[in-house]
Amino acid sequence: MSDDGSLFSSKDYSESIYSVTEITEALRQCLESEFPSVSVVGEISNLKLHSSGHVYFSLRDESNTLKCVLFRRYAESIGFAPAEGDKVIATGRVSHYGGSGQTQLIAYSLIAAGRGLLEIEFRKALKKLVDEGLTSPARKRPVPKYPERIGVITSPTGAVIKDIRNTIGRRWPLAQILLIPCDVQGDNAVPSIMKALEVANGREDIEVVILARGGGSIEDLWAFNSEDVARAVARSVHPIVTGIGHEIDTTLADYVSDLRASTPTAAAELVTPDKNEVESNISEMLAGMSDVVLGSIEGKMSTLSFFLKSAAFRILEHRIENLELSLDDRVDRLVRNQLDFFHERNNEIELSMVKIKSIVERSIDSANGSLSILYDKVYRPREAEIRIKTEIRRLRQITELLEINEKVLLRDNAGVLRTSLKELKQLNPANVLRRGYTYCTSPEGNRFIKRVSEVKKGEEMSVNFFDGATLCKVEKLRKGKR
Amino acid sequence: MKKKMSFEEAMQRLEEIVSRLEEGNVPLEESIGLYEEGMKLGKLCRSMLNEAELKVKKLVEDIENSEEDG
Repeated sequence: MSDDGSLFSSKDYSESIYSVTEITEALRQCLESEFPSVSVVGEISNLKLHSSGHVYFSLRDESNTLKCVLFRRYAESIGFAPAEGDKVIATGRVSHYGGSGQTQLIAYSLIAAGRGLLEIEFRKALKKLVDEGLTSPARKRPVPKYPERIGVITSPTGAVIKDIRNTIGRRWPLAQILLIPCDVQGDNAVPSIMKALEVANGREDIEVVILARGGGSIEDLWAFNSEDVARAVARSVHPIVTGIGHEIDTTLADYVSDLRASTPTAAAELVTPDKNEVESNISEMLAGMSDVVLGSIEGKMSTLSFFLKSAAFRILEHRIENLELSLDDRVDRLVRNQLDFFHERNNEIELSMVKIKSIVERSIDSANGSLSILYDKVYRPREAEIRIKTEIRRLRQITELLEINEKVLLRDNAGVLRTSLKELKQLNPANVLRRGYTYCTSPEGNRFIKRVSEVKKGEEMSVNFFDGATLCKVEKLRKGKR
Repeated sequence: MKKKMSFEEAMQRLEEIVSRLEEGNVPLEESIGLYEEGMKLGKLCRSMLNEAELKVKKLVEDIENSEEDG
């Protein structure tokens, strides 16, 4: 307490006698000037919510209590309902109220201390995140089915990373764990986690991220309730699976992550398939595939063999065989004919060649002979010339004779032809009719009447001339006479 | 196949092939081709699984500290 300006120090109260009101007023002024704004921490007891809306309670610690009042207009804005036993921090002025003769704290603010305070912050932040839609199920991305790169953000030491490593190693050794170490508690935890998330964002090969921390008190997990961390989780490039604390703990990070696991080990299980299950799944698929394909081949084979055994196919087969035989036959014949033809031609040509050759040789021989005679006997050149000329003349004669023979032959043939034509003409019945003959038929002309016995008296018949016919009636039959 | 197929790609293709075959209206020749491809993929996936050994790599901001262990 200061020595100047206050009633106690400026005035000597021992000389006078004061009324209760006077001393009460003096106390009030004294306290209010000394404690215009003070924060007091304590547990709430004797809580009374008055119908006026004012809240009356006491703040208590191990040995003392302090009366408090929170008027309605402040009570409405504290954001939580105070409860008996809550550890709170009340801020206001200390005053003295004469009506009940009590010194009290007239509070204008009341906040929960410790866990309560954290809880309030948590709810406020969660409400913001929910309002912004960051916890919406629609935002949650699926985790890859068969991840090959798994980012793990957690403490590099301790049980958590070991558990995750063992779990993934057992279930899905195909994966590679990219451990991004960070502090998970303490003052540095929030920036450290956020940094780790950034590192993960920078790695394109990461397919899914596990954000994990082992169990602990709510204060231990508090970094994961930081609004900044939660927003960083929501922003993550990769899907994030959280495994923070135990089953009962749900942090802000859990609310915004793509998948929440109850523990770090559970998170490791959620991001990985079980190797054995995948293997048996593959075996099943391969077996199913074999069944389908082999089944369809068998089906087709049996259809085919049925078809091959069927009578229709036999007939078809025989027909094809016959056709093949006849084709072979024809080809053979064709080839043979062609060969025969060529042989004939060849023979003819050879024959002609031999003939020509012999004629030419003979001519040359005789010419040669003549020449040798000419040379031998220089005195008788004329004889040789005459002989050559004779030979030539003989050749010419032979040729002429041949030509004449041919012409005669042609002429003779034409004569025979002409005679035959004449005979043929005379045989034509129309020419016979022209010479005065007629012939008789039935009136319809479809039946020739060649004998008297073929007609009866009174019957009609057609008598045909070369230029028409007359329909006549038989008057009399005179058999045997003309 | 282009470069190295990831396990997921191989499994996806295998699942595709199996369901295509199970539809039933695949011509025989195509189904044998699919069967061969499926068998290859199954083998590939199995060998990937059998040869797999978990690797852990520590990513640290300053690369000098980064280490690799199995």
